[in-house]
Amino acid sequence: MTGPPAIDAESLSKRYGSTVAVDSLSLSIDRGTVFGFLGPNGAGKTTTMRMLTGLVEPSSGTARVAGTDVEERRALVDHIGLLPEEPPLYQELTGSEQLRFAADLRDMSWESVADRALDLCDRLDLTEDLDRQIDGYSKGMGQKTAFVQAVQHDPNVVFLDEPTSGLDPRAARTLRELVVDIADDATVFLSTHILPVVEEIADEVGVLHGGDLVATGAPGELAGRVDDGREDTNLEDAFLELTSREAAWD
Amino acid sequence: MWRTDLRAARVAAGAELRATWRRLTSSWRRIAGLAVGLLQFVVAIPLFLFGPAAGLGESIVSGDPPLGTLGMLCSAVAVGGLYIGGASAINQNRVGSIGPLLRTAVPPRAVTLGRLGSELVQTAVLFILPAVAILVFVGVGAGGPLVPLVLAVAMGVLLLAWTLAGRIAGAALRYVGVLSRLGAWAKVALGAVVLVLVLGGSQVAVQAFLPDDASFLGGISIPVILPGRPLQAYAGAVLAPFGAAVRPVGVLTVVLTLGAIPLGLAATTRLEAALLLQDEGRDSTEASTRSIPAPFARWRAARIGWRHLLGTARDPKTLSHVFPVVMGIVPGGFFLVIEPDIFLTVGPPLLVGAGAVLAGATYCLNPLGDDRDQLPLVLSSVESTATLLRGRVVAGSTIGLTCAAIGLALAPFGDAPIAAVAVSASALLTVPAAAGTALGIGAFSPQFERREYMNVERAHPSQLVLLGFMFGGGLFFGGGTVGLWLATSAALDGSFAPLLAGVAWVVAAVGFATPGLLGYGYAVDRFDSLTLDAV
Repeated sequence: MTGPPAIDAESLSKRYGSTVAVDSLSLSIDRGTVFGFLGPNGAGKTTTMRMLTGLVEPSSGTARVAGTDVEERRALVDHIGLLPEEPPLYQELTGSEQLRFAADLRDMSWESVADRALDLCDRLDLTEDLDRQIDGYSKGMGQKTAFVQAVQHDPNVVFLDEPTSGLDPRAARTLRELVVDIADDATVFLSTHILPVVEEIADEVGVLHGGDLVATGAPGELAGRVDDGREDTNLEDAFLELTSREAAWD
Repeated sequence: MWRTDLRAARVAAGAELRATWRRLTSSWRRIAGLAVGLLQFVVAIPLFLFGPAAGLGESIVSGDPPLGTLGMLCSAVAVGGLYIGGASAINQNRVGSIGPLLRTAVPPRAVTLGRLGSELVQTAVLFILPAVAILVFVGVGAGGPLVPLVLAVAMGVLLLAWTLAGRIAGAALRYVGVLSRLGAWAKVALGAVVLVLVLGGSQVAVQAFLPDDASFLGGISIPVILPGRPLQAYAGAVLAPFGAAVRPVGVLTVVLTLGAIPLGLAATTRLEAALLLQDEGRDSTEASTRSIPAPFARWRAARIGWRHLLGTARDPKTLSHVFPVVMGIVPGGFFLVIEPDIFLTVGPPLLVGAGAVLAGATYCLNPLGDDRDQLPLVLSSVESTATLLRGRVVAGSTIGLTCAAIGLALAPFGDAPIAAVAVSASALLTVPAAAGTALGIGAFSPQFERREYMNVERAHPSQLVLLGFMFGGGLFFGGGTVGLWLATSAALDGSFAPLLAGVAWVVAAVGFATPGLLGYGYAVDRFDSLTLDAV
């Protein structure tokens, strides 16, 4: 993939008082990449994602997403789609009204996104529930709706925080397939604890530990760097090794 | 069994109190709020109450205790207790901060006792400082500690009994709601009927039970509804050692009050424990997708505004914070219903004023705080929050202009139809201006934390903002509208120069539009720089 990187962060840090949530993170992700972002609880993944989507201001450092400075929120919103950990849905609306609302927020007509949105709903078995109020949705249905609203406008960079959370195995598989399809046109920044998902669909992985990016590389490459004497190591072994010691791999 | 329950209740109450204390002291802003509140007590109580309280103490020991004043005081305590008890019973939809754990760990009776104990302690803490100060002043006037001690016990007993009575009434109302499986709007209607009965009944009661020597208050205050003769006699009975006349009804009231405490405690425990075991269910989620009506479909802000209205139509709880505003408006409505001729004449300007208040109070007092759960979507989707804020102005103004339209419909039947039509037309400016003003006030102190209020847990506007807008914005826009109507009416009947009326219209237009635009501009500026760090 040529051209400037989809995500380019330089010494990005976030501090809350004396607590350092993210420490001088530098990262470059090419366009069209599915980037798996891993780390133990409290490592700073959500904070990083929030900084990259303009939801919180970095304490220091810079970052550009789709060529736009993350502190220029007005311009940034044209390029990104976000599925946060908690689906941001209005319980009083129906699924269909929610998706139209999300299009409205971006000043896009429903007609301009409907084909893509309804196709996604169809693939996620959500179509029949679109006319029901979200208040009556299961967690998985809410997650599917929030996923569709995050990508229906065809953003350049999609940020997904635990996208398969609450989904049954069939829906989770469909969603993984959708992520791969989306990556044909967009960059996907995927944060999850489900390592087999990352192993299956990510082109590149970054591991965050204690606010530091301790390793990056292809999933197979990271797995191959585990030094425990075994031959059949996987991403989980790499993750455990990386997050159990202080120093990062070279 | 009781011993086990009481132990569990003590643990639950302790945890609840610790959680409350930590919540109150979790930020410098809250600590500063607490400090300001305490300071108000420290400054205001000596300033305003030293003289009357000391005078009361002095007159009690004079041998002829002022039973009229004491009866009024008792009634204020009783009504206060009734309100606190009723509100606290209605105002809970979970069992404290650690609800689910508590509900599955200890028996319902222990949960109820724990919550009740914790709330009684919180109420006592709230009132202890002013109560002690007032009692000290009474003691100064009486020249010794005996009078304040007797008053403390008498008022404490009264407060507890009426708090429990309020608690039972509130829990009973919730129980009716649960058993009847009413829909959300039906519950609102039931609540409105109860409100009308209470307020309407109070107007009648004021006329019937006003004690002679408290008549200087007139028929305007709720505290004078209930003192009646029994509470006045109660005061006489407890102050018998100081020469007050003891009447049988006073002794009976003392006995009933004392007896009401254990009975009330048993009843509220049983009722609330039963409520814990009821599945309150949830309101209907059968709504189907609605297309946006033509008047709202054209502009993005209007479409967003329509979705606020749709959300309220499906779940009236989204406007639970407006209850105090309605409480403020409804009593005025009674006066007008009693005098329909006046209502037809002054209705249009008052409805424009009420519409302005509602336009601001409904959707504009906690903009974006109200969208707390959806902020990641909202902030990562819109170029500027201006569209969202205009959507709220549209939604609020729709309600406000509906009020004004009702006034317009009354116009032909009043004494000054042309003035009524003119002032109704002014709502096209007044109502959105009030909404813009509310945005500015709301943006000054947005609330992103969820809290329980009127049985609804969501990010409600702060009380300061709500009351500030009600009394500041309400008086400004309501009073201004009435003034405009008076000037117009006077100009039309020739008692006021038309030129002056024209000037009044220009002043009103500028006066209303300015805070509206400034408020809107401030809110846009504030929320365009909002990040989740502030949430």
